[in-house]
Amino acid sequence: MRRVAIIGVGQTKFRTRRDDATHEELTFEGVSRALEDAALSISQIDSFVYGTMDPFDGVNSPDKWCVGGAGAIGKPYIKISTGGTTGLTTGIAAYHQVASGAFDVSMAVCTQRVGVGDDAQSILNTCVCPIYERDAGAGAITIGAHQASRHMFKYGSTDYQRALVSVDAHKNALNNPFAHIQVDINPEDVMNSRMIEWPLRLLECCPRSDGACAVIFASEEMAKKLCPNPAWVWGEASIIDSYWWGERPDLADWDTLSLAGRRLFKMAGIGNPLKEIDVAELYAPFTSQILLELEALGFCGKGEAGPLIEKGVFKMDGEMAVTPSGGVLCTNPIGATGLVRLTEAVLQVTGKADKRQVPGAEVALAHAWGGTMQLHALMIVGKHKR
Amino acid sequence: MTPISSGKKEVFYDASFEAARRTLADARLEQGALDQVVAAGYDIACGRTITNMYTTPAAGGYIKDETRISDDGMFALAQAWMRIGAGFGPTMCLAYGISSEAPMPLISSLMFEPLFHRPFGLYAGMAAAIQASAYCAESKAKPEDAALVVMKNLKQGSRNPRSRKVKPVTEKQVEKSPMAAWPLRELDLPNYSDGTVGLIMAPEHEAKRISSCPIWIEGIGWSIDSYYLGERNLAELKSLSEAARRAYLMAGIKDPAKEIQVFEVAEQSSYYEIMAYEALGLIAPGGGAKLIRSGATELSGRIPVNPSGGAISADPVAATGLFRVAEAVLQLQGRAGKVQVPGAKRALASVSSGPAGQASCVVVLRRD
Repeated sequence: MRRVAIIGVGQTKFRTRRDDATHEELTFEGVSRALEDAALSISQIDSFVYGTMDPFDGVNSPDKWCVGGAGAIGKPYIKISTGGTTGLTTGIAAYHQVASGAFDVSMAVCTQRVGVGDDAQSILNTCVCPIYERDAGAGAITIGAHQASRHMFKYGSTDYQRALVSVDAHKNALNNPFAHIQVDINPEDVMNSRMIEWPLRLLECCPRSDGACAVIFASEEMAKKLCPNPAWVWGEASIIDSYWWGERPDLADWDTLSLAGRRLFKMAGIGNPLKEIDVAELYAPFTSQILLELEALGFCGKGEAGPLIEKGVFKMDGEMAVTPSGGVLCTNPIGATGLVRLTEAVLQVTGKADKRQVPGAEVALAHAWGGTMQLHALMIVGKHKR
Repeated sequence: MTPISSGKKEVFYDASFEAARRTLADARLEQGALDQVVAAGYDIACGRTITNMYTTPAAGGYIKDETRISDDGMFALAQAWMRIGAGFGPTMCLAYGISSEAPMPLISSLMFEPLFHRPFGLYAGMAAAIQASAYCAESKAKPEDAALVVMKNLKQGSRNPRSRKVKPVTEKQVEKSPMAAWPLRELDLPNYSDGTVGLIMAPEHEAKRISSCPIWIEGIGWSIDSYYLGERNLAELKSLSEAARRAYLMAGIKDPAKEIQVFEVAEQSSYYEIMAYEALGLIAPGGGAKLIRSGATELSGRIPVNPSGGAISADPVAATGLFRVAEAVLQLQGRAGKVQVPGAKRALASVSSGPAGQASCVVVLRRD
């Protein structure tokens, strides 16, 4: 297996709707920005991996339509769709294309135009069992709410702690020019906002966003030639759980994320995640999930995330910055979101995160979950080689 | 693999479980021996989004590494090949093709961009028809030549118990088949079906331990052409020839017609198979019709193409290409039964997806 670097990233400004651009044009924007960042021309890309979640945009296999926008005509091109993890599994696929030695420079590109589809939640509702679950309206918010209430019951986390998660994320998003929702809020705003699904309120739930994102991976040899300041991939992991949520031992604990995290940390040589990781770009469309994810990944003990959030441990200037980009709570282009997490992690370790830069960040983690809690994908990038 | 059927017998994730169970049994492995599952399938055809959350655990992926390709299973084979190259061990590569739960022509029309193309009612069969007529205009191929492909593939399909139950047809029956999209008759087009297929893939040292007769990936290539039909020369299968060029380069193949003994080609139409003869380098451009007329691509011919019956016999969309790979593997292992090509040492499998063969993947396989 070869060492792999990330030599360019690009993302568009995320909005509720991008009526000014087609799917293909949006793809072109994302790809162009990554090429600009890497100072490469499209002819220098050997292979492409395209990620999106099809039904949300009302197009079947938009990868076929977008191939010109991606600049991939005549080149190897593979399409990934794994649910919410799509963005990150697309990145992981491009990473494997280079790590295996099959290609020297590979680009991951994800586009999503949720704005043209029906409501994202009604489409997501089609993922659950049509006989037992669909009529109940089950979807992503249901999961977030179940996890939140179970976490409150088992570990005593509070509405206030979750409100702080939202406030921190929204404050961070103000520093991120690509973020979708940019509002300055306080805990009272969160706790007084409209109830969506108990105990989650409006400001505890993500928007749906339109936009694109692209990341360029290169072999060590090519990275040396092409990029003075790359990010190095330290490790990746993905995992899938069984379909039925009722089979989970406890919705307050995200056991599959713990398992995947353990594999990831072993591969990346991380012993103490809280000390050794500087930035965690966690995938949390709902406030409650930051708590579960911090605990599952071992950044703190079970039930400790809430109190630590109150102490400010995971703020921009805390011991480990969580989602300095504002995260998924402020920006969620479903099939691209995971790749945005990776992009933000790369920007942090290469010192290019501008106003949202965590000073001295050298190791960053990117995470995504998908399905109805079944899937996780993870990647760690570092300023230095491992 | 599961036997290909008209569907509606079991829910798609039960089919994934059944195919994976048979695949593991064939390799004499337990689920615990797998490192990962690389799946392939289309969500919209299943009427649900994120279908991998059902199929991947059912295919033995529970708490393992996973990814899902939203295209034909042969692209999953390519990605699995690279993941193994990057360090993974035994891998379940599984494709679920479900065509019985949704109106497939409508599903394929959703592939077209919604502003200028979809309102024309374009769907996969119509794109294949435009391509067929463009090819006929350039090559002098005739409907009778395409009928020979239909007759050959349905004859083979009727002999292959792993294909769908089909009957051989005469030239008259092809001629009388209802017109689908001129010049394509219904029999010229793939036979939408349900079918799920799994393959166990492994790095060299593990493959030798697991199997007494492992089949090696000697060359693999994939490529994509422009989406816009108007931008392409539809009389040639450019992405297929580019994918073949890459695969041949890797495998060191100079003359595929001499060096490869079996071809499994997922044909998007009867005309497509004739065009594929040219794109795969079995004959010079324009010579495809001559080749089918010569009988060289029959089971008993010099270069058998689709001894399994191909997609005209059974087309479980998203699994069709990986079924071709499975058939090629069985050929090389001498387990193809009534459709066996005697003494095959090297085989090729190919697939195209997207309108008029937009994207293609080619793999060259070899036995020891």
